[in-house]
Amino acid sequence: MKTMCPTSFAFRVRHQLVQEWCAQWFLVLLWLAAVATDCWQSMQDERPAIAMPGFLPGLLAMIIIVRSVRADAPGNAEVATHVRPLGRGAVWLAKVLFFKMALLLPWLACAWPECRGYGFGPVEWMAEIAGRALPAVMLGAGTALGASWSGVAWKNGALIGGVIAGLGLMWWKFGTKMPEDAERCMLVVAGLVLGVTLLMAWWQSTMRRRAWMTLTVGGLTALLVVKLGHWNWRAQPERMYADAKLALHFGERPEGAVQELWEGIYVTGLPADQVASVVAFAPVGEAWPPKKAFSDYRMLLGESGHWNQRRPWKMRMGHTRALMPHYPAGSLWHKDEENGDREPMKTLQKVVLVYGDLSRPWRLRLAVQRMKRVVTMPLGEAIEGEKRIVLDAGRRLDFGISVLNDYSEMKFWAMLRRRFPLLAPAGEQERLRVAGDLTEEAFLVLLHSPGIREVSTAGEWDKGDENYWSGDELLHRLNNRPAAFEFGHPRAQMEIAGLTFDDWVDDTTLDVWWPEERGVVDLEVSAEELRRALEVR
Amino acid sequence: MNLTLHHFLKEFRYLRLRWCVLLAVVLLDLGVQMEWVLPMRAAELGSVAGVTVSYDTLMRLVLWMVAWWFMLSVPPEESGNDGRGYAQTRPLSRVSYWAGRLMVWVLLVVTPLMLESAVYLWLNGRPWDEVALGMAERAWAAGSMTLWLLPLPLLLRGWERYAAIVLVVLLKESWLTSVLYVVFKELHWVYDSPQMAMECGRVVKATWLVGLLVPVVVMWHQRRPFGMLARLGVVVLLVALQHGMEASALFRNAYEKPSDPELIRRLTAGREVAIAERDRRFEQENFNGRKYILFRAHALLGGMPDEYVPFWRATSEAMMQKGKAMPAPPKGEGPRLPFQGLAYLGMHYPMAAALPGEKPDGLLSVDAQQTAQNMQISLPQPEKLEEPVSVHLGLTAEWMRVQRLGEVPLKAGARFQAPGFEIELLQVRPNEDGRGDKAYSCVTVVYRMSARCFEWRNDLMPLFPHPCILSPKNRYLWQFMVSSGSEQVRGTSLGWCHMIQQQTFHSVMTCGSGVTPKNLGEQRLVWLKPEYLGSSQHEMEMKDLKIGGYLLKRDGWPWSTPATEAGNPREAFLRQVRSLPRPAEGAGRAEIAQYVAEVYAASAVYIERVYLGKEGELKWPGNDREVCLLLAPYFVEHADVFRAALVHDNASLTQGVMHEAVLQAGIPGITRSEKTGWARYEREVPVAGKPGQVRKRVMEMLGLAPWRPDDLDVYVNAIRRHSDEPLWPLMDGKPPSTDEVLADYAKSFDRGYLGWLMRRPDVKYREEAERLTRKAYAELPRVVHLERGFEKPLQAAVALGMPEALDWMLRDVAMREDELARGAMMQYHAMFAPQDQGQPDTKTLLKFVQDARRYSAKDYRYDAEKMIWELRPERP
Repeated sequence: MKTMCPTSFAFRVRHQLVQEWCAQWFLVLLWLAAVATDCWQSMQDERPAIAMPGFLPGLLAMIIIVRSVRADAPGNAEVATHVRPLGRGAVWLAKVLFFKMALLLPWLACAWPECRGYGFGPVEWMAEIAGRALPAVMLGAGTALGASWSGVAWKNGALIGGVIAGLGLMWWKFGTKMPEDAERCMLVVAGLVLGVTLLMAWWQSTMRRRAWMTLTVGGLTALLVVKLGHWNWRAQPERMYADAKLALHFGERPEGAVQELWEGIYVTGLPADQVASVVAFAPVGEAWPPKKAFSDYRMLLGESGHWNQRRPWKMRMGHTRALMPHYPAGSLWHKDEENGDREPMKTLQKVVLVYGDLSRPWRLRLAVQRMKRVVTMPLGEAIEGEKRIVLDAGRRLDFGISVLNDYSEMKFWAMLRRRFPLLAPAGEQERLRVAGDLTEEAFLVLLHSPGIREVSTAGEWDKGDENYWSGDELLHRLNNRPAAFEFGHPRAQMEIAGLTFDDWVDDTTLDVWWPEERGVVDLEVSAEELRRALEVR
Repeated sequence: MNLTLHHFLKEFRYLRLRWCVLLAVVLLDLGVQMEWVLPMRAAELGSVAGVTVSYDTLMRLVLWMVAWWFMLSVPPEESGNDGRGYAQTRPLSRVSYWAGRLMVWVLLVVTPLMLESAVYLWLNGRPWDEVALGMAERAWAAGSMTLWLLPLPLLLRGWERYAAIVLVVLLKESWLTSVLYVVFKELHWVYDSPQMAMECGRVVKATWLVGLLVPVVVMWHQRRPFGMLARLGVVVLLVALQHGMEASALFRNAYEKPSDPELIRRLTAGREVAIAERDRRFEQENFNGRKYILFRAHALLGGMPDEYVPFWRATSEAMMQKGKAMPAPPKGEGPRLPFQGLAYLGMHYPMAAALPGEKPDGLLSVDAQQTAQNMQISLPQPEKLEEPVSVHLGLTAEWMRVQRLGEVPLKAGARFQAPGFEIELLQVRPNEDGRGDKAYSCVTVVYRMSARCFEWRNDLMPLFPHPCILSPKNRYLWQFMVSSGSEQVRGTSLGWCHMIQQQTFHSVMTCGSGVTPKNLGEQRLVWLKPEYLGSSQHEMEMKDLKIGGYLLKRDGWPWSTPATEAGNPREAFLRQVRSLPRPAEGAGRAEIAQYVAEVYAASAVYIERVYLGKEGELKWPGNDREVCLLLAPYFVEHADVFRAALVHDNASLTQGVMHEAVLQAGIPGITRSEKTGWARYEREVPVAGKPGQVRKRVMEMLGLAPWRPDDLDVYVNAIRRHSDEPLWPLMDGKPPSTDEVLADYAKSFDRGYLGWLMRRPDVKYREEAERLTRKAYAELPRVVHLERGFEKPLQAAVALGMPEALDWMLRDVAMREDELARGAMMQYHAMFAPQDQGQPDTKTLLKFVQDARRYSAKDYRYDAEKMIWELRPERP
């Protein structure tokens, strides 16, 4: 079959495609430049001094679509399409192909430089592509439909009104708060329905057919999906701790391996290399896990009941102690920051005051972690250039030296980068949630110098009570969290024993450790035990 | 005229519906500014200041957008063919056409806006002259914002008008600001984007100027028509030009003029810049890889009355070292208005002395920074920091005088009115911070302030009023406060604004202040209004300045703590040392040095073992004797190793090792003290040159301090010789001369030196010591808690018998927490005893603090003979 016959459908489509390019090449090149700049900007940690406005690529794409569609719109009485022998179907398909090749593909291609190096598997890549394509298709098809329709004043008014009403509805429904996973999944399905609807309606409009029915059915279906749908492919069940049987002990420190949570309150049964952190503590009968959760991850600021997430959550000495078997015995373990071995008793008293109920038993949820070494490298290598560690799909730790001077300062900058497509099923890291929120990761970096029998550790610098921001958008998670790890030089060895800086660097390795969640466990505390623990202190 | 009116009516018929929209927005704006709609509220208990909408700014934006839209609306036939067709085909002269359009602007845009201003001011009870001023200012502002839009419909077509409005708002909001900021930075121009709320004047002036270009552009377009992109581009260019001009230093708001430059010129003439030695700070800084010295100081103009407060900046700085000029320091961007630094001083500069109006004698600022640095200058980097330089500075002082705007008792509902101001205290929340949390000793106040804020008569700007709490009975002034709650303000563009402020003062009801929740109503909330008076020019020289001596030395060992041990640090330290493999018999120097270094590294990590508790006792009882015994065998043979360690030894470990080594050496006269456990020396030794005579030499504890490493060689020598003779020079101190003591006193104001000088028979020394003390006392900033370096002159003045100094010091002591009573040690010595009488115990100091709260200076009498104060017996 001769597909490229001058009268064939394929030929007409190709002809229109060339026409589109000739008419729009300058704007398309401008759009490509804008998309490339946007892609480059999104990969920078700091916004450039003259930053391109974020709305520009979208605006340019809309201008291209409006110009293209309006040039052949049925409602535009001044155009020549009404008498051209191409056929409306060919013109429509050519425009669809043109938008795909000129606009959609470059837009999707930006996913590669932005997301590579985050350990994405096929599922994450597909979700990333879908998450970029869906809003682009909705915006593009909606704009094309609007441009195809526009012309008469009342139609324009109806269109503008419809867009404003749609945005208002979205605002009213969600405000500035991002939807939960269940809502997100339904919105995606509804968005898919709406995208197909808009595309079909545009096709019908181009073919001079009535699109009201399609729009009504599609819009209603989308609304019904949002209202009645129950899909949630992102949900991850909480992992329950199964490595050992844990119990609480009140009073004097018991024999054996125990971890002290508060003064006089111990958790027993933990394997030697595992550490427990408090996730929630509330009276039995309250919603579980409670939204007002006191924990090692969250902080109670005062009587007014402000809760903030710790950035990052505080690792305790127990986490460092769990590393000791991995290093030679007798080493001098030291650090340059204050982090206690246990939570002060007054924080427990404070949370009890918040609930004010000592008549019921209380429930304690612990999250158990095992320390996992994510990288080890000679210090000499670590202080040269930037290092990247992929923790799991969507999480990466970048670090490098930032200060190295004669005042014994050695400071590493670090950036924990999280980039994850929220259309993909939730990863392992999302199993643990505190009061409904994802938790921030924490890291422990240490320098091991066997020659001088020293292990120097550094946790992240405490950022105070900054508000936690997950970086979750509707379809993507993008969150870069800066951190810093600081060490001093072994000045005692240098000044007393004549150790040189280079010798020390040659003798030292840098290890990065990360607490891997092993699961959560709920333990019950009787009212009597709690009262006694509070009274004794 | 008939044709003009006819055209106006034609336009009106087309625009009437749009005019109704404009009127509705004007009415909505009036409703919001009058708080009929969305009234301002005090932040609710427990609410956190978050991102909130400023309805004042939002309404202004909406109002102007609607006004622009209205001005860009013309009947389609008028703008066809860019206006040329209409003018050529209608029996209407160009003059009548434009006069008709002008009537549209005056009657349909400016008049409603002027009326809104008039109604707003009248409803707020402002006098008629202010109503007239408000209308005039509104017309002036409306003119700049809308008049130049009159010819724009002939440039922009159809949807371009909407696009232009959206583009202007988007560009002004973000992108244009960043572009112009970079451009200005590259050109070394000052970029200071005006604040929308209070800096309309600069916006209006810049807009008037740029607006004149619009008719020119339109005329050009009618001769040589622009394409679509060029039309929108011209609009963007004009907006960029306008934004650049308003953000530049070309225009000033009317209220930025100094109020009395002549007074400043008269007062400052012939006076010299004075900076006390202790008020100078030098820091090594780095800007884009270039080093420079940051000089910060509290500078005064000699003899200038207290109520005039300066803020200094450099106009020139030259540094010479060994006759060579140093290159100029890197220049940063300064503020557009240098006197804005004065706003910072209002919060931190101790205002007790500068407070105008009636005030109690001896008023002290509680929380002001006594060293509020009113001068911050970049100096060149000298070639050698340790060698002297001479610096010549050209300086400008910006002068502020504080007025007492008004005051109310510190209780809710109190209010006052002053010309141009109305303030009502809405809430007083004792023991509560701005977040609604319990906070001991804090007082949070919420008040509503209304103020006159015309461009040409502004009582609020350029320096905002500053609230202080004044306790007349207790003679304290709290001036540092933290603002909280969301920003709420209305009417800023209408000449009379309202705002709700929530501010928290700290340490008000602290013990000893005399302020309690019950007597809060007796305290006063005073508003100070800083007034910018003018500036003066000065020069200053600093000769033989050794900057290196001022720079902070960072040569200590890095601070670190145990990473895995949370228990007793003394036991953990011992455990750590025991776990270290000891050097084998006959080991070389390197092995021993590493062992010693490992012990000292552990000592530094477990330093908490030597920390003292509240009573001055060891928090972790015990000693390091076992560790010292382990190290003692290496002390003599490897003295250089210990000498290197001594400099950073905060735990006195080296001293302990030396004591054990000395005790083991069998030196005559050396025994272990039963009292302290350390080595002591006591022996009768022959007097040099007097055969047969002996004298007793005693050293209760053999001393070895990090700042005297040479002493270590003395002990090593004694051990090697098994003789006490090398120790004798450590016990022979040559007394300094009276002149040397006086010179030391002039620097340190040490109370011991003062006592010694005042006992000299030569009256010249006594008079000089007294003169120095009184002068230093007079220069002290009037704050309760004096910083290190400042408290000595006060204590010396007390020891000298000055009752006003005693009054000050007692109030300082009274405001200390009971738990921190030991911190009053120096004050105790200044009042009651010379320093060499030993330290008082905590109980005595606690009683001293509690007495300071009960008694005043009048209850004590001075014993000039003993230079001490005694409680009068007739007091309870």
